[in-house]
Parts: sequence; C-alpha cells; structure tokens
Amino acid sequence: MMNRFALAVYIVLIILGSALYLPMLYDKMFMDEVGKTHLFYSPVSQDFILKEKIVGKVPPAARRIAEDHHSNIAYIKAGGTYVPRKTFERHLPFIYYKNMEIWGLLPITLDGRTFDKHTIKANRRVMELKARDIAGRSPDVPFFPLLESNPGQARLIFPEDRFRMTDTAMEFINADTNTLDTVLTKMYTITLKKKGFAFPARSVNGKFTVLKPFDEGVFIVDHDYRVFHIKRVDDKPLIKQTPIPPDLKIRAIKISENKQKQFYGLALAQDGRIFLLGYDNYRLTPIPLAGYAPDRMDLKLIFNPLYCTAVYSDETTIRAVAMDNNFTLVKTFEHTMSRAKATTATHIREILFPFILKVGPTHQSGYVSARFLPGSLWSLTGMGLFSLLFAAGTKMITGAWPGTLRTVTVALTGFYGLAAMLTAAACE
Amino acid sequence: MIQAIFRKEFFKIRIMWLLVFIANLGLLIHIWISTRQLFALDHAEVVWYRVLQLGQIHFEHMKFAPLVSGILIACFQFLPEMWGERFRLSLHLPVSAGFVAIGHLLAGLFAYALVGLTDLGGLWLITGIYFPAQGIMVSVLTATPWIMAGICAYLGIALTLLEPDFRLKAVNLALTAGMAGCYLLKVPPGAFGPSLVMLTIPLTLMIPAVMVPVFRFRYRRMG
Repeated sequence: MMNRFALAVYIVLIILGSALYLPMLYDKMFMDEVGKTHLFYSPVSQDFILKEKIVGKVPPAARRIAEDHHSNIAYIKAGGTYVPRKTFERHLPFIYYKNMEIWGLLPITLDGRTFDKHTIKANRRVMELKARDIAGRSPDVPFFPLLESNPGQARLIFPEDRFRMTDTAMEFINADTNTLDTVLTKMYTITLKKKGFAFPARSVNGKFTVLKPFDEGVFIVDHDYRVFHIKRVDDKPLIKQTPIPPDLKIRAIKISENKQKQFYGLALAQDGRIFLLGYDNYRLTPIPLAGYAPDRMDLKLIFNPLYCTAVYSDETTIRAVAMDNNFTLVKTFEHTMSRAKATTATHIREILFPFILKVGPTHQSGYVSARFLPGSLWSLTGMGLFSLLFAAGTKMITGAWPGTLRTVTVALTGFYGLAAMLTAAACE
Repeated sequence: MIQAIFRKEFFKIRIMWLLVFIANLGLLIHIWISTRQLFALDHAEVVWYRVLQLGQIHFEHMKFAPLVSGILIACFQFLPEMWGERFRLSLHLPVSAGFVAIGHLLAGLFAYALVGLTDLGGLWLITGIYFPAQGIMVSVLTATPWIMAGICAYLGIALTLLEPDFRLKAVNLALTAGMAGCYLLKVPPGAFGPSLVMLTIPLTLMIPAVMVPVFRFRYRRMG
C-alpha cells in the first residue's frame, strides 16, 4: 500500500517538475521573446503611430521599407501603413528632437506654434504607473525616509532617520543608533493627530530617492481615506490635509517631482479611475481611460508641448488616448500587439503541454507566485494523442492495456504524464 | 525504534554534521563582519537605503549554504548506508521498511533543521543589531526559501542515493535540482513572502516519494 502511495506521489512530483521546466526549455529553444509595442500620438499626422516587433512572417510591405533596421521591427501608422524608421521619427519630433536637430528640422512649426529644442525639452515629461508599482503588489519594506525639503544646498541628502507608520504613531528610527527617535516621533504624531489624521495609515506614497530635482515630501492616505501631504521643512513637520475626497478611496499615488511643478504625480482611485494630482490646491484632473484595469495594466503618460498621450496595455492589447493640453480627449486607439499572435511554435507548445506551471514574479506583481496556466483547444489534440500513444505503447510492450487511472493521468497531463508513466514503469 | 534509529544516525553523522554546523557558524560570523563593515564604510542611512529600499542583500553569501548543508547531510547519512548495501540490514528489521526509512529521514531532517534554524536565528540576531524590525522581517522572509531549498536538497539527495538504478538516479537528481531551483529564484528581498506556505507542498510530497527507491532497494529492483 505504502509503495503504491509513494509511487503515486513520485509520479505527481515528476508531473510538477516537467510542467515547470519542459515548457521553459521549449520556450528558450523555439519561442521568440517579444516586448510590448511602443505606441505614440504624432503631432505631425495627428494620428497614432507605433513601433513593434513582428511575430511570424514579415509582410512584404514591411520588408520593402526596412532600410537601416531589421525588417521584423516595423514602424506602422494607425491605418496600417508601414513607414521607414526616419519617417517614424519625423512623425514624433518631440521625442526624437535630437535627431530632428541634426537633420536641420528644428525649430518646427505645428498647430501654428513654433518649437525649438529648449521649448521641447522644457515641456516633455513622462509619468508611469505600472501594475506592480501599486502598493501591496510588490515586496517593499514599509520604512521610508522623509527628506528635508529645504536642504539649503544643491543636492538632496538622506536624513539620519526613517519612519514607519504603526497603528498609533508615525515612528522615526535613527539609523546611527537603530533606536526610536522619541522627539521626532512625538512631534510628527501629535501634528498629524491635530490635523485630523486617523491611524493606521493605508498607504505611504512618495519618491524615496535623492536623485530628483527637489523634494515634495510624502502623501499618506489615512484610515478614513483622507490624503495628507507631509513634508519636512527646516526639520519641522509641514502637514496639510488635502481636499481630495475620501470617497475616491485613493489606492496609490505615484509621485514624481518635476521642475515644471504642474503635477505632483498620478493618483489611483479604488474604482480604477486615474487622476493627475495638481499643484493647484491638489486639484484632481481625471484622465479619460476606457477599459483601464490598474491591477493588470501598465500606464504611461507622455507629455509634450501640444498633447498628452496616455498609453496603457496588458499582455496582449495596447490602448492609447490622446488629449490636448486641457486633457480633453482628442483621439483613442486600440491595437492587438504582435506578441499576442499564435505561431506554429505556439500551437506545438499547446499540443505538447496541456498546461504550464510557473513559479516566480509576474509583470503585474513582484511577489513570487505559483500559477497554473491552462492550454487551449489545441491541447486537447495533444492530450488525445499522448493517451493513444501511451495505451498503444503499453499494449505493444507488455501485451496488456494500461490501467484506467494511468490512462486518465496521461489524458489529463499529456506529455508530462507520459514522461511520468515511463519513469514509473522503470521503477516497477 | 525511532530512538534507536536517531541514536544510530547520531553516531554515524555526528562528526561530519558538526563540521557542517561549524561551517555555517563561520559563515554567520562572516556575514556579521561584512554587515558591520557596510556600516563602517558608509553612513548608516545610506546603508539602510541600499538594503531596505534598493534591495541589496547584505547576507547573500548565505544563499547556497543551506542547499550545500542539506546535500552534505544527506550524503553523510546515506552514502555509508549504500556502500556495501548496509542499509539493507536496517530494512530487514522486524518493522516495516517504510517506518525505518521515515525514521532515517526524520533523523536527517532534524540534523538539518538544527543547522537551518541556526542560520535563520543567527541572521535574525545580526540583522537586529543594525536594522529595525522591518529589516529583520524582510531578511528572514528572504532567507526562509533558501532554508527550504536545503530541505529539498536533503530529501532529493536521499531520493537519488537510495535509488539503485543509475538511470533513475539521474532522473531523481534532475527532479531535485528542478525542485530546489524554485526556492532559489533571483527575486527581490521578501518576494517569497506570500508563497512560502504553498512552497511547503513539494517538500511534503518529497518525503513519501523517497519511499519509492527505499522499496526498490529493499526488494532488489535494480532496473
């Protein structure tokens, strides 16, 4: 009895091991790892334009215009026309402004306005909110520096302490002594409580680096979803309760200090709506994104002197919304990325492997997780083929049909099951 | 009977186990000195930034130590048993072969646990000197899967060494390497936190799986 149970467990282990590593090996040998498509709004053509790696056969039109690059890297207008790389870059003068300058195309006049290199540089900006950046989706140590916002020198420096939010206090720990700084702790906790802060905090949001032009402190969401802006100015707390409505239930704020001083960053509400958090009394400017799912999509906002483009994507589909300077919707675009295309190698993988096990972080989460990824209808073919192969092979070699349980195991696990049964046969 | 097996295993591996244990203690001392040096060379707040925020692992030398310890303990325990097929004597005692094998595995796992827990405890103490509670927590969460890799290695090497057939030895070794690899992924500190409980499943499955080569050995199935 013990022997049969042990053998069954051994078979399960072999199936698990195969489902983890065989697809990985197959992918390394036969699958092309393709990154996400780059999608932009062109202020020249006033339409979207994209760059992507073509999976599978390269269309002749793409091959014809590929002059100084591999033909499988395609530059495509929203209408589907392939363009050469230089044309693509000319469509995006605010991104490729250095090349535009070399080619003698600056200053450039668009929409009746003329832009030189300095104007372009001063008005460019990118903000990003990746799914794995949202609080709780990646491992981080909830222990933050509160930088001096008025350092009295050119460079920002880290303070000698870091803080953590406990159930009742904002605790500062001194790095030199690794002990609680009671003075700072009391000072900040009492000020927070006076301003109406409800402990415990829900999230602490800031850009915790000294590699930025200046410091805007941190935004802490309290237990009642009120957002507090906390700064350290001349080593004293400067705490404001922002007018951000608590019913938005702010989930994450991605701060990104920038010399333009127009927006602190992006704020994500519980219902998935995304806002720009402005310097103008913390005014929230909604970004009109349709179908944005923050837990599985990465979002990028590309600002230029004329437009702001919000680009967001999951693993297969990329969407974009172009807005004018007042964040009024100009145009939208949706595109199924080339990486989503099933090739012959994809189908063979699905036939061979009815499911795949993956252990590790994902694009959406920095935490290690074990994931069961089922195959497609093609997998049914493989499951049938391997069952037949197993049954016929067993009959030919031993003269008897295999047991029902074993056949069912191979039917459900395909190639993995066959490998496990071969090993089990060697054991018996 | 378990007591007798533990006594036999104690006498068999005590010197080699002690060497493994001392080597791990030596490694902990090395980690302590390296960590102290980090703080001597740079401002404490900068070290905190690097370790707690950028994800520098100040005890990364420890990553493969539990794995190697698990392999060594399994080798010290089962290689002498397989030389001249001495293990066959134990398996012919008037108790079930499964019981005897489990007894041996428990003795080995206990010996490994002493080493693994010392590593974790030592890391806790060293980190506690220089970092706050959050730092200790993330260090322990980072090192726990490495300790689990050691358990996996111990059970996998037992599975491999006890197998009488060389082809299946190779399969078992590959299985061990694959399973242990899951615990040694290159990920940011603390990334294993939510999956630690789930990752005990392969370890739990490996214990009964070791019975397969034990029974094959007991009944002289040489492939």
